[in-house]
Amino acid sequence: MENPSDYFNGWIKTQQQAYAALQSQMQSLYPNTTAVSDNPLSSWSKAVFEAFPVGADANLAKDVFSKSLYSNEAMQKLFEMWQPLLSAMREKTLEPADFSQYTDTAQSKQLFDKMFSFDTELWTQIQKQAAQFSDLARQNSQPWAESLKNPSLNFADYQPDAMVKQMEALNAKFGDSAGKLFGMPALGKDREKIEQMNRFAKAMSSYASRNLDYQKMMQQTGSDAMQSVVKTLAEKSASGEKFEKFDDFFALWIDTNEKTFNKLFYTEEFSQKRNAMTAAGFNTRKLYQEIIESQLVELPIARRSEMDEVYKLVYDLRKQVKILNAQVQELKKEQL
Amino acid sequence: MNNPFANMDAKSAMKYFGEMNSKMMKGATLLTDVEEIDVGTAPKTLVYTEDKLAVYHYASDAKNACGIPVLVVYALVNRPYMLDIQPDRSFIRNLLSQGLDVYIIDWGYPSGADRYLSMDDYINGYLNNCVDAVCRDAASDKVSLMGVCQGGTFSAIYSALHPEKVHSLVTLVAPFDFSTDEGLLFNWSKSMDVDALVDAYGVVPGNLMNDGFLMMMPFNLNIKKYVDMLDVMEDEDKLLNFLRMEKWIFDSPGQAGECLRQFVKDCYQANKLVQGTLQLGDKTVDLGKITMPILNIYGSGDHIVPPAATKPLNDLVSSTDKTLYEFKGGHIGVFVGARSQKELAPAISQWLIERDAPKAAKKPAKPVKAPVAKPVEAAKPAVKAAKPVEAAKPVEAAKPVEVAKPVEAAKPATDSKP
Repeated sequence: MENPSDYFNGWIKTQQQAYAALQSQMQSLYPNTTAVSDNPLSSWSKAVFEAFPVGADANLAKDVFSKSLYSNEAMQKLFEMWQPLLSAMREKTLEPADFSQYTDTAQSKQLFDKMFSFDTELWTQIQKQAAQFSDLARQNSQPWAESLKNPSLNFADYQPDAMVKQMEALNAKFGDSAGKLFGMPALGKDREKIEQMNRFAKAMSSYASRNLDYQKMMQQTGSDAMQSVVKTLAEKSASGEKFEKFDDFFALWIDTNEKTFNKLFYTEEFSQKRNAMTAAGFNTRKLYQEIIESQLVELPIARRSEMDEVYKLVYDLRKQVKILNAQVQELKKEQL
Repeated sequence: MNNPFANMDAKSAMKYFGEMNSKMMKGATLLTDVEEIDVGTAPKTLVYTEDKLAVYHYASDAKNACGIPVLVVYALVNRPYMLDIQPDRSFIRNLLSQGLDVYIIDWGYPSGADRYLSMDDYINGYLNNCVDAVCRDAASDKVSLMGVCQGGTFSAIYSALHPEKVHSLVTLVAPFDFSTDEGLLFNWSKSMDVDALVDAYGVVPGNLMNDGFLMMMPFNLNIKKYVDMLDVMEDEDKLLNFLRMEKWIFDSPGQAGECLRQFVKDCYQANKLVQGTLQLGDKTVDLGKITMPILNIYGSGDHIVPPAATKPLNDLVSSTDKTLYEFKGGHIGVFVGARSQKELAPAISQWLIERDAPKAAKKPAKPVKAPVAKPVEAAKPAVKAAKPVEAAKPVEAAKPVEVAKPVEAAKPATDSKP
């Protein structure tokens, strides 16, 4: 390296190469997606280096920086770079295994060595650790990423049952893998708040799962009711019966639905699922209130838990006053 | 294969929608003219207040045929003006016209400050004070309790704990045996996590309770009712009937958490009342301590408090004078149906009058008192205890035959609330 400008020129050039490599890799993974035409750094680096000839004034540099930093060109380019991945997700061709190429230790090392022009043992060690972490993250995400590839799921056909199963599977897999992060004991001065948030996240997850279960049951019953209506219509059709007016059909629809749902409402399954769902909802609400309270603790306002203490005190005092008042009345009567 | 919709041709459909449009236009005009939905219009005076509750005394022009005042104890979950929903469908006015001296408790709307009120507070505290206040106001040493739904349960509990203050007990569509699985509320409550509910809310919002009631007949109460409303929109009287009922249905006080917690746990889930193990404060409730005459009324078509939950009371009390009255109707039809006005209210009045005793002297009713709390002033009756008529006969013909229509014309979701 003869002088600093050579270093920076080399650095920019290496980054351009790195970007081109990433782009090429993405294109090789998803060849049918839109090609990216330009390097996001080129316009920025061009603007910067053109702005720094010998003796360039500060205002010009400021102007160029402003333009380059506030330009959305770089963001646009970044979007274009990720577009193949987004397209793959949308088209359901995403393969978690593909990402191993991005975390290949040797490739990464080579790339970063080139980008930053250093190659030390420490950096190698950091890279190994990063790669291990990446592997761990992939292992964690693999189960729930796999659960999304359930062939029975078809959102386009709107299959409620498949959707529910899919969500349940995702929830379970997530809880067994990456979701474990939410159960980690928190550290530091915000430990309480973090654990509070974790409890709330778990409660939300529990409510969502139970609500899904409940909604699935209701959806199925609604579907059964509709089938009953259709069956009745078919029977009427076969026997030559006709509706004289719309009200007759409406009455049939109401009556059939009411009876079908009433039958469900009397089952133990309904009681259990509804109560599980509502109890999870109440618990979530309670934990949410606790979070809100902890956020408001610095404000000069009475919080709900504090008001409850006051209410309890008022309640106890009110009872006590009534008892004492009764005793006073008795004493007055005795005196008379 | 025939088309079942074949008769619904375009011409008749257009006619149908034209008529409906005309009704809606007229109804919209009527709705914009409604300034206030008047309910509970029978004249009454305030005789006692304590915390949020108020006791009213109804004025009557009829000749007093019953010396013992009747205290109506309504449920906590709704507003008591259901009994006086409109002048021509007023259970209260009907009782007054028969010569009864009627008082009513309005429990009010609990706020956060009331979340710790327990069943003990409501029954041994408030209800007991209300009874004392009515005794003072009517110059009587006893009252007849008329408990409605949950208010009936409370009245029976009170009568068991304070039999010396209750002359006779009338219960209307009130639950006592909660072990039945005939009603949806009874089914759902058995596995309900009431701790989670009360801990989350403190005072449980009335709207939350309403959601549960509406779930019992979701299509009729959430859809059909409003479609049917279109049929009565052009008729001012019917529209106002509908609006009054609608106002009542959604005028729902919150529930004091601790009271609700105990009511659900001890009654709906553990059925302690009929087992004789219900504990209020330091007292155990023994329905066998009820010795006064009782009239227990149930609705044969009641899906909120099924007959199986109501009828067992008569087997649990020690009263020798006890009547079980079957009303052919639903939970709300008991109070607002045409048959109720024509038969039930007169039958209750007659039953009470037959068991009444003439009083030696009855003070004239006091004028309105200042609305200040008078919790436990010692009631010293000016008149000695009125002796109940011996061996009074139960009301005959207590079983109407036809099904009573709860609400005429508009059919505004009558049986959606306890």
